[in-house]
Amino acid sequence: MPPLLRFLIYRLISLPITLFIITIVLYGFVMLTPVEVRASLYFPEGLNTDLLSDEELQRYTNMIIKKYNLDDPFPVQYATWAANLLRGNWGWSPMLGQDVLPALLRRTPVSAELALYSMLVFIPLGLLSGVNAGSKKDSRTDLRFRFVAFIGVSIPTFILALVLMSVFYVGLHWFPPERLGFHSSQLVQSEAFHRYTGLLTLDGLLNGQPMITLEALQHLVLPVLTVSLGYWGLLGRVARSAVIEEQLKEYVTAARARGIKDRSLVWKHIFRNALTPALTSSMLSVAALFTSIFVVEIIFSFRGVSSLIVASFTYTPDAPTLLGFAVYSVIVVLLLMLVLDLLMALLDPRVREQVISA
Amino acid sequence: MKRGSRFLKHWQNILGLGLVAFFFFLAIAAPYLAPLGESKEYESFRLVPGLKGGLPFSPRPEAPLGTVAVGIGGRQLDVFYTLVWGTRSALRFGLSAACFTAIIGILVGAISGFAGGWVKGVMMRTTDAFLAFPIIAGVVFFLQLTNLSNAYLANQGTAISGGSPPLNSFVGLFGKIDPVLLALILFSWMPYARLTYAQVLNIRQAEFVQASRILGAGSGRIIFRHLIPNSIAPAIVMAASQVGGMVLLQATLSFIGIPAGSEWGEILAIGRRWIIGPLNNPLGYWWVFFPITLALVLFGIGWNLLGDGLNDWLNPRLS
Repeated sequence: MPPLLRFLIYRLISLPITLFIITIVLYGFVMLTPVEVRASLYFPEGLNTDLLSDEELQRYTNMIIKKYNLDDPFPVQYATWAANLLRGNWGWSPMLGQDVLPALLRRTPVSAELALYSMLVFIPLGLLSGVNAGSKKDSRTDLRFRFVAFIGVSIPTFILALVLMSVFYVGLHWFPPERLGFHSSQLVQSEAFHRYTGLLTLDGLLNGQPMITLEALQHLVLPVLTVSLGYWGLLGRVARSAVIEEQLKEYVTAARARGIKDRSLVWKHIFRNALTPALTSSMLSVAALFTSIFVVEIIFSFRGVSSLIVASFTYTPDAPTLLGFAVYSVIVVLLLMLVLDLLMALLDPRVREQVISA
Repeated sequence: MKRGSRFLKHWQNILGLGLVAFFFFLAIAAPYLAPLGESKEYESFRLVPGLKGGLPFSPRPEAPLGTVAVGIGGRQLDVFYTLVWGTRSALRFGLSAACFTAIIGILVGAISGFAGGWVKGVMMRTTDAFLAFPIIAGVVFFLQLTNLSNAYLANQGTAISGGSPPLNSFVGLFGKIDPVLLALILFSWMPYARLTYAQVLNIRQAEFVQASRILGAGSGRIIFRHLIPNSIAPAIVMAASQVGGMVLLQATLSFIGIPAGSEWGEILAIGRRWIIGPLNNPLGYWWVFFPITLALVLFGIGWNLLGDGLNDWLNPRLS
């Protein structure tokens, strides 16, 4: 079996195991809550708790507790819940007035678009500037990079967002918040506009409405900039120190002795070897990226997945939404990590072998 | 003494140490810098004591240090007061979060590194699993689950049957602890575990460990007397740089409306519509956000520099 295939299989097996551990922990915490909270995980579709009197609700809850054996020990309850989860039945949320899973999936493209463009910005830029600075250690370029990266990492996301908004929206009227302006969002919500992917920048083109794409891009500039600055600094710093470490190795000296030009040495040899530590570090911060995307979404009023958080602090939250949101975020982060992992294995044979020996 | 002077040789270390010391000073001297009102009782926020004509009412923020509280008819909150007293809660939160995460991570890492086998397998798998958990989801999950449990427990008078006994509840276990702090600790110990695990693997077969094992030392003694003291340095460095990050995260959560208890974040959220000044002067109300933001940024930078300095100091080979 080729190593890459073995690597892929290994990863695909470890994904459900990780998910299993996390969901056990999550359900373990839910087990500590009163049984009524757990009963709300099995509310039938369309139930409106506001219309029921307290007694009716209590009777209803007791019925659910009996029916789904919520007085049973942990493993039994967990199995019932996990089986429901696997069947795509994530529970009915009275807060959203909707099933949880469709509610999450419907909002996914909004967050995905923001994440996608941010990654397209900060990964190439971070790698380029980090490698460039590292290859000229202690030069003026390097010092300048280190200074800007330090500032980028130190500024709180929400302050950066507000300052950018005050300058470029209120001051200059260049980049407004939200996903689209009023008229365009009316158009997007109308029947004539077909949603192929949910990503506005793509759907605009697919519908033959390049103006929508342009407007969506214009609205994306500030949020993408806010998310990217910190991660650009982080990635750049890792890439820089990886390059510096790589330069001390003997093959670099040997290559230099053979007369290979500095430029091609850095970009052809050192760069590829320094890529793995840089990607590893970005893999570890995928979960943090998720958090900062949500923060930025809330500040710029993008109604993505994060709107569930906002809703849960505005209305009475319910257990299905909370649990669904947690499980959903873990799945998304794991999938992103899988992609990065595969990318690393494709680029670096050492990674493939390492995993198999471990 | 030689080590101390090496630490002070770099200006970054002195700056880091100075900034951290400054925030400790602010926290300790808070009662003198911003005296409590007549009631002598501490509150997170304070109305400005007497602006023009003794009234703290005005539709827009008043210089030098007021922020308009939303919805209470132009009341002014004292920014300086919150800046000073907020240092206390920031330090308390940051230090306890960093300490507890470090302790959990070090224990997990050391035990799995020492034990090996299936113990290591289970523990490191769990560590990897937790790495995939975004903190914001953890915080919301914990906070709202606590609120939900509280709500149901409050209703328990009306409950007929099937209600679980309060002792077995979320609130009974975690009620005394701040749920946000708990969530942050629970979902950020993983890097420490990985770090300590790698360190312990390096020294597990060292002669002094084997000697102690031959002399009959038990697992506990080897872990706590030999392995942890000899592999703890990187984790301490990481904890020092994390203090600032934890406080920043807390302020961010507070700012977007999650009750995380950061007074700095909350007063920024209260004054957020004044961050953008009048049209002819975008920085017209700079005092609403600038002092607090500066404090947050300096707090983060101070602890980061201190961590970097400790790193060079504890690992002389790297510098």
